[in-house]
Amino acid sequence: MTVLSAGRLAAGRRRARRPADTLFRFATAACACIVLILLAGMLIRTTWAAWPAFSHSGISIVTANNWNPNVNQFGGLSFIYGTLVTSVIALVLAVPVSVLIALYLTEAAPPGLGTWLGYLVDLLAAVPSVVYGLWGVFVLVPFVTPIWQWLSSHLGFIPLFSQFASGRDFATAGVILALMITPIISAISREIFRTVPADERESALALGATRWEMIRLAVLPRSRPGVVAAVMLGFGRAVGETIAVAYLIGGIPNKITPHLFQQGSTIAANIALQFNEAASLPLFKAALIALGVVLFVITLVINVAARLIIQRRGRLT
Amino acid sequence: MRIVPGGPISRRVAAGVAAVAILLGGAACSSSSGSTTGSGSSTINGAGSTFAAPMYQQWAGQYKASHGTQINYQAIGSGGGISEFTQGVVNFGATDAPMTSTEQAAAQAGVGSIALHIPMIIGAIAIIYNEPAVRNLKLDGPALAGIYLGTIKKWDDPAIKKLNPGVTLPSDAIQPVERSDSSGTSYAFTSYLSAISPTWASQVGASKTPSFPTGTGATGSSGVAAAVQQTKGSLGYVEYGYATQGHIPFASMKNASGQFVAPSTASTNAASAAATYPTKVTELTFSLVNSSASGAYPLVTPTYILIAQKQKNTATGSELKAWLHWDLASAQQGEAPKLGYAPLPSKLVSLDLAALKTVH
Repeated sequence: MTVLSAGRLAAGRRRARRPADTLFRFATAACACIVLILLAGMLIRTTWAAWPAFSHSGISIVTANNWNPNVNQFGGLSFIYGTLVTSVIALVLAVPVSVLIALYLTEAAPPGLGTWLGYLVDLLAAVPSVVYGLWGVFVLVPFVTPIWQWLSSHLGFIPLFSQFASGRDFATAGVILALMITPIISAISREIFRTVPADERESALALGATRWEMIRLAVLPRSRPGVVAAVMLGFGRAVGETIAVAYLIGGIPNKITPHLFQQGSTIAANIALQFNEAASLPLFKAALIALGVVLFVITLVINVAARLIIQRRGRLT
Repeated sequence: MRIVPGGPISRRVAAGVAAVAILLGGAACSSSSGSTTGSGSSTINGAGSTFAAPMYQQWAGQYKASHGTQINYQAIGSGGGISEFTQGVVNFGATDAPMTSTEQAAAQAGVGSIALHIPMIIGAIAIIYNEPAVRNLKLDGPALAGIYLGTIKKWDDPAIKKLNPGVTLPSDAIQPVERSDSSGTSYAFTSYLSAISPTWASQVGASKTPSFPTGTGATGSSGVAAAVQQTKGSLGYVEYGYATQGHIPFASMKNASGQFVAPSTASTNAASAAATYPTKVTELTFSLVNSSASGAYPLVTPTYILIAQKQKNTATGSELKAWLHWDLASAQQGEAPKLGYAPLPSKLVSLDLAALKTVH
């Protein structure tokens, strides 16, 4: 009796597990599909909503530099320029620092300190962007303004540094973006460095490599695709960052200049700043949504590029 | 034997059922009590202008305390106010710039009747600056337009020198600061520059989101004030209240009759008292910039509430009318100067009341 019931119970469990498995598979697949549907839906819906602007201005939305909604001119080239310039400044500043932070945390720091510093870096990644923006307005701008002025007056012969304006510019926006993406890049890089097998580190050390040589021979080559992915994620965040940039870039449209200490604007910042008033003007609203589509495409291109780089590098190593 | 293991289970089930019953009962009780408290007074929703939001929110709070009607005002910007009003999402909209004819047609189609503009308060825009060497700066419209067009680049430009005789002006660069977000303040500021400078009118025009040819953009009046205070040599425009609260120096502006006038409640009143207003209640929109009255400050602007002439819900409609009537009474208008605005002149109040009378 007991044996029989136990057997029946076991069989029941086995039978019961199968629908649960199917359910689990369906649930996970459905969730994965939701992402795809959302992505496709967003692209289709935004393009649809932006269509009046695309049919009004055509390709000039991305090629012309004459954003003036009051006379229905929607050339947004300066926003694309501002988006790319600030993001590149952010990467130039953030990537070396982030990788060094990650290396220190995994390779050099005493274990206890490394863990705690790691927590702090993760915490920085969780600070909301509006906080970075306000901090930027009241702390960063007064801090960088004299530095920019000094650079402008001493290195002004380099076009990048000439023509200082007001401390709210491409460079300041780039610095705040660098601060925002540093924790992301370093947190991911740290996890990547951790995945390098201890065997390989130890064999490098056993061959007489110094710690730096061990990092160069064992850690970096293995981690390169992962670090590239981390950098691309940071780039993606920088491209789409809105509020902090809107506060600090000195948002004026139609400015394409090589001088980093001049004001400009970015796609995301401009959408956020102008959307309120566009609500009652259909063509203006469509043009802002069109900028959103452009931003979407830019991030898509960055992500695809990252994938390709990772795949190629991954094959090489 | 079977009953023993079954006992605790059935007890647990009973407890669960009881818990659910309590929860449901509680929910039913709370919902019924909610509806009884709600039935006494209704709720009015409005959205729009950020420029006027402090005033409307103060009035709403006081009205709730004295009359019990809840007025929810969302400061989402004038464009958002017009659009939500047109879609019928809110009972009233609020805007600093009057609706264009296209917007008016859309609103009429959306709400099913003519949309009335009801001017509520009047505001002044101060030209704030940060140049410690200069006290009591004097400017005129063409000089201001030149600064914002980028043709006047230095503080000791002849155009500014001529307006400030006897003042030693430094040769620092002028750094104009403007609103980079959409703003009713920008609309009033650029309508003044358009009225005074043909170059401005043709190159930039009057808009809530003007494409400024030069300068530094900052978000919100507080952002402009912060940028001006941080940057030596800068100059910006904010609502008058921001300049006085922040103790930021502001310029006197040369008005159309040749006097230099500082922004104040009195100089704003001088502009609004001398103006002639449209008498047709369906077209109660006007501009107050560049007034030629004596003692009038030139950068003055009204702000409007939008209301449908034919209210779909008569109960809410009469509550809304009652609130607007209350706002226009002299006690409430008298609160305006405390927030940096100016009250409506009495002839405009009577025009408003006549317009409200046609709402039903």
